[in-house]
Amino acid sequence: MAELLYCRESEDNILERALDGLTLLYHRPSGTTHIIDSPLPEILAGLDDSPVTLEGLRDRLARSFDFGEGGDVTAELWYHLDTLVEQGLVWVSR
Amino acid sequence: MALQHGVLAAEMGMNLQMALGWRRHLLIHASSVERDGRALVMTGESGSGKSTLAALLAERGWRFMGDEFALIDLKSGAVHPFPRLVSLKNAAIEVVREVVRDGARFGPVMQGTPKGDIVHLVPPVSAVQRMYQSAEPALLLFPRFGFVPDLRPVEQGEAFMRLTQASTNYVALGEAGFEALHRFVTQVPALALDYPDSESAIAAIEAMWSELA
Repeated sequence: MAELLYCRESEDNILERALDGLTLLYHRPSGTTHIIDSPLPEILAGLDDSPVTLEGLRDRLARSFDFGEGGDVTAELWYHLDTLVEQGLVWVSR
Repeated sequence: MALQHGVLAAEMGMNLQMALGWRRHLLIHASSVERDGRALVMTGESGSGKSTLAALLAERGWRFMGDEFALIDLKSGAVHPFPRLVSLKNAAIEVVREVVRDGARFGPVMQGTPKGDIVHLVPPVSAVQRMYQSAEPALLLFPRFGFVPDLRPVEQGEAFMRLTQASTNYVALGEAGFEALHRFVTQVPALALDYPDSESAIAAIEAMWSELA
């Protein structure tokens, strides 16, 4: 079965503003406002227009962040990506 | 609605017309008063005391700007006045009567409305005369009547969330509303004030206003 590929919603469709330690996003196509907290902004920043697999994204993020010992990083990443897909901020394809 | 509650029906109709139709400003369900060109915006649920506090402050040297809607300019962020009749409810009626001695400024008592007893108060003449003068927002307050005194800062995320809920046209304004509200919460400090009576609330407001100056 083909792996899922993830890419970020077009930057033209998202307006991003800082809010204390949070990130405020306005999704133009839906008119929806999102207030997101770490690690969602970091995951979004790790994505771009080019589709990437979950493993590829994990490797990309590992270059900038220390995941520490223990914990299922892949499962956690999948969970957060699923949330971002539901919110229309990330696209998923095969 | 009963015929004797006709003034309330008119008020609700006007509120609805504003809430659903106005697009020139970001509308926040809030009262506001001004001093020295800077506005204090107070928002909260019905019963929080925002109307009462605005009416009382207007008798103590503050300019009454409105008790129902704060109109936030979409470009400049300034608060635009909307000084219509003040809607006083239940115990607040007597609290304000003790301060405003001019009986001619009070409308008839409407008893047994869905919100209890209601009386409308005519704002000070100066408030209406200056209804075209906007003011820079200097403080956002979330008052809550009937609690032991407490004052705490409200973080920007919480303020943003609560103001989206308090705005009647945030969604309709789209990106313009998003930008206006973001500017407001990042530029205006926000505090939550719990208070047991109006006197202690006013003392707290005067004290925090002095600190801001």
